[in-house]
Amino acid sequence: MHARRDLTEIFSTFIAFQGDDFGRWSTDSTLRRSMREQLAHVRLDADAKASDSKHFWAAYWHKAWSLRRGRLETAHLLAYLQETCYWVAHKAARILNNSHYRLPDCFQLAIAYSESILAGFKPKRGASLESYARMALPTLLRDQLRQRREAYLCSNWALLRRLSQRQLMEALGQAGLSPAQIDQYCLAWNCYKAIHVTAQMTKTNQVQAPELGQWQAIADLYNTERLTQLSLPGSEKSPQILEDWLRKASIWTREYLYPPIVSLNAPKVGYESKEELQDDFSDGAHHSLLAVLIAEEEAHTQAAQIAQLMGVIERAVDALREDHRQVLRLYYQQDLTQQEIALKLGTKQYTVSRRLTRAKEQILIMIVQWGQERLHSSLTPDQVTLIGQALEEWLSLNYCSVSQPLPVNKNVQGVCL
Amino acid sequence: MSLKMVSAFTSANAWSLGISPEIRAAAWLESQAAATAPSLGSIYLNRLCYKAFLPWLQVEYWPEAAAWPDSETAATLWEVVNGFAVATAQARIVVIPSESWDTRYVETPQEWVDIPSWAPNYYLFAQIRPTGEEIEVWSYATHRNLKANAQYNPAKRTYELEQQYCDRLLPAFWMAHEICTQSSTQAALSPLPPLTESQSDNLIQRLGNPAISFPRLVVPFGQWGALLENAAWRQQLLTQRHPRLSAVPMALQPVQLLRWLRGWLETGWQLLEAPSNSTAALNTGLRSSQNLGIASTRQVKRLSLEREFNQETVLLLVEIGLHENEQLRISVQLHPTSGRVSLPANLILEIASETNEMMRVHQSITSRSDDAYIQLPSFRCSPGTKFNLYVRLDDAMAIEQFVV
Repeated sequence: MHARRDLTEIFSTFIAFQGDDFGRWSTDSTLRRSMREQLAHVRLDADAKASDSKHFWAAYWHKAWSLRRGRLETAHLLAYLQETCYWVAHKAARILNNSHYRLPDCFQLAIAYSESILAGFKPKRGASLESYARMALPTLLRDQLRQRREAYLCSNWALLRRLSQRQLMEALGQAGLSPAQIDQYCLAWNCYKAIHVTAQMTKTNQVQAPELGQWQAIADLYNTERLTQLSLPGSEKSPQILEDWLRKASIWTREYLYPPIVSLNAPKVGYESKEELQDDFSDGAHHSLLAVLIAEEEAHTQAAQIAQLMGVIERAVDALREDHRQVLRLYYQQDLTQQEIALKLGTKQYTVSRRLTRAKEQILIMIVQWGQERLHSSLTPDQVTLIGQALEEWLSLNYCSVSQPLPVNKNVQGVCL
Repeated sequence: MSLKMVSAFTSANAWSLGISPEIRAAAWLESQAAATAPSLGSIYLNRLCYKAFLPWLQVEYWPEAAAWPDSETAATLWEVVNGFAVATAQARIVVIPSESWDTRYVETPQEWVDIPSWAPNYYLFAQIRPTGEEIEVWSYATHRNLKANAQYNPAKRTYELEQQYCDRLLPAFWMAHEICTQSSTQAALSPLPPLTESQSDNLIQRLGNPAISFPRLVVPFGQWGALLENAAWRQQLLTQRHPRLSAVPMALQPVQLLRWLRGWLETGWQLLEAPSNSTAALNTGLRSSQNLGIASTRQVKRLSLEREFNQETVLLLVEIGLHENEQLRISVQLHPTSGRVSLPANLILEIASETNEMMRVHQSITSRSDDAYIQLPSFRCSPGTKFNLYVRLDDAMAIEQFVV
């Protein structure tokens, strides 16, 4: 994959896959036109030096997106995030090695999280949208892949135990149930979870179907609780009905939450979708542009602080114990999983996990000391969070093989040691 | 393809800890004995999480960490509320276990948010699979954050906090715990409306009926919260619901020293005088028995210190002597295991005892290279005194808890 350089390209092109790998950059003409107009617009303004950077434009479109959440703004930002999604997906696909989730699948799953990334990004914190995405996206993708993995492997009865009520309600809604029915099903599900606790006693690691007596207990609990917990209590239900409900619920949730990836309607946005992308960028938008430009001035001072912070992180990493640095390298630089690291070092995964957190704690201590000396006051939990995020960003940018835009060669393992 | 692949995605920012089959079995048995059917799931989940997490937290981070207000209360509360509280020297932390894999939001029972004397500084959110092989503490939030940003769900009486407000960098949690002030982590709460004696009696009568499966949802929260906040009422309520509940022992039972004098042997402990004992040759250097009072005994336990690449084993020797007024004189030593002449260097032996309901270390000794043994100055305790011994070597630590 070649990285994009041109600003218009960055905000108007999308990855098209060829087989399991990168094929080409495909241009969306609406986005290209929109981007060119904006660029011309800004160059008419006097002070436009900042507008040469993709970070400026990312901040700009994000600002516009947060104001009106239009499809156009979303599409520009999705285009901007293509490389990040690609490399995050690349790593996930490597970890999943030879499973039925390949790079394009992982990429689609990653792209599907773009809106969460846009919602979670706080421009005031000083980082760029791209580096925020690079930090936050792997976590989201990992959660999704883990769930899909486990959902694939577990029985319907185990699946029911692992759902959140929100997931269940969404699936039931999707299946066409009325709000009153959804409430009934949710209560039935809560009764199931309360009564059916047999997994621990089986050695198979599989949650078994409830037995006859348990269905009776579930029905009894449901029939009592419906009177207080349901706004429309409905009639008494037999154990057979509850069993039927929960069976259906498990099938619906499986279909709804974890459909085959081909049917995900993820990156429809872009790709010449003229009818969806309204080119209606008007006065209000120009106003917000100015707001961004002003914010950019503030960001300059912040950027200096960030640069300083990054310097502190670098020194802190250098000062780490060698075995701590080693796990950071293996995890971030060589993209090994904790299990792979454990295997390599002849230890357990929990040990690797512990050493990774310990290493980060050591770095945090040094950063916080630096911060407190400068601020002469104690830090708030929010500030600690920011420092933690800065560290994550530093590790994923500077301690990471992905910073070279070349696919990772599996044979380079060990070279850095 | 196996479940192993699932854990290929373990985050470097979460705390992931394994649960041994022994802990699972014990948690299961204890839950069985304690609960009626509808609370069984929640009691088991909480007990499992508690038994695995608290010792881990003590070893990894804060040796003084203890159940809040105490382990008995924690265990009985699971009958009605999910989650448990842990107190460290600086903060109170509420752990919310869940089987849900949904990381888009977390749910916290209102009791842990709005009862003023219960409100913690931090929440830790833990995920456990139904088969219970491991716990992943995957995010945290401050009470202040939760109060400001969570949505209240009136039907479930929970606060739901969306993922963008949950902090998923656990190393940052540790840092925040170490340096952040109370006021920056806790939101102000108004007191719950007080209950009269007759109100509380009525509530206990009504909600003490075990046929009511979810008592927390039955009466307005103000009343329910006020009832729980009062220790005596809470105890009455929970005892009435489950007379046997408080009788089930919790994990981490301290060693009861006075029982040693009646020849009692706790799991893992051996009498030093026992002839078959491989440790009989210890040169203890302890003073002769005239200082040991009316009755005395010595027991040893083999402690394993799991370091990252090797395992170190040492012998903990505790000698007790009974004096008048039931005062115990206690001496503690660490020895190398048989076949070795000296202890590893930098082995630390510490004693902590309870001060203001908190375990605080007040004596510590570190081995030099070639020390044949190390010992703490002997001390006297009256019945009921609790103390802990910590043995540390680098990152590894063993904890032994005692009560006189």
